[in-house]
Amino acid sequence: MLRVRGFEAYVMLGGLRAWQKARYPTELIPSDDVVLLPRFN
Amino acid sequence: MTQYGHHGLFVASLLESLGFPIPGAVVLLAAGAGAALGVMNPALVIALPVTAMLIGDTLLYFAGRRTGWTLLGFLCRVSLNPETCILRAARSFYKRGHTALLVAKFFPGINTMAPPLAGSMNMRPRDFFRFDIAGALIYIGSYEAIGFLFHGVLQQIIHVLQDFGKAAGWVVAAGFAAYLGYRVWNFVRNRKGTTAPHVRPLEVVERLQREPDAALIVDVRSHGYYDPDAQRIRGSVRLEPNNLEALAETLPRDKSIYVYCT
Repeated sequence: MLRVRGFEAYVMLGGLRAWQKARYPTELIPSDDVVLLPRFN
Repeated sequence: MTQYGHHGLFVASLLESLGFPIPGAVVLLAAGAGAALGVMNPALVIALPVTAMLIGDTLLYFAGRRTGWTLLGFLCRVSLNPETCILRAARSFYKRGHTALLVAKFFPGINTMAPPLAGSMNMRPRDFFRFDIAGALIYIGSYEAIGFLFHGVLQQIIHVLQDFGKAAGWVVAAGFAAYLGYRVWNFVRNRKGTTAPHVRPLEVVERLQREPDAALIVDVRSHGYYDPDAQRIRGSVRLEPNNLEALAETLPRDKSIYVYCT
């Protein structure tokens, strides 16, 4: 879809798992982006 | 029931609680009738399915506790909008609280989702077991009582249930066909353009080292932002894939976009 819209888009093989496996840097998701679902306790 | 007896009752109840498409209500009706006719032990007719359901539900409950929202995310994958499915299921279950466990078994699909949801939502094990056992007793007791009391007309009741099951089966089949059609239509529509080439993480890292301002990594996971300790690729930005068309306009056109998911 991004390509159709004219973006130069690529798909990263293996996703986050492959990235972490290769030990490339990650970060905690900013708290503003986290959707806290309800919990009983 | 005459053929499979108590073992069949146990196995059918276990499989039903684990989400297998077993006509559990019919089995329980037959077990109730079997108890009335003296071919099945009345105590075992209650104890076996309750135990089996408790085993299945406990497995799903602890799977939910262990995997957090991943299991719910997996169950919601077939939904047209997984994000909304997760949010709605969690909020609806939270709103109804423990009482949802009392009636969940009467609703196919919900009976399988309730225990992992209770686990994902950190329901205390003591509360879960209390309400789950009560729910299992209500469900099993209701159908077996009908089977016990009306064993003389059980054939007609089973016919009605089977007809209802067939009708429900057609509805489910039509829904599944519509869902498949939607997926195929979506696939064909998106294939009209160029398929995005695949790159290895190493290529992305090298590109970023060469031209740090020429590339943007975009996280398009449909879910995964529900745990406070969740990780993402450093410097990546979030793009909710179900709103891709609207959100795409926020992406820079002068950069290469590298999308990734789980």
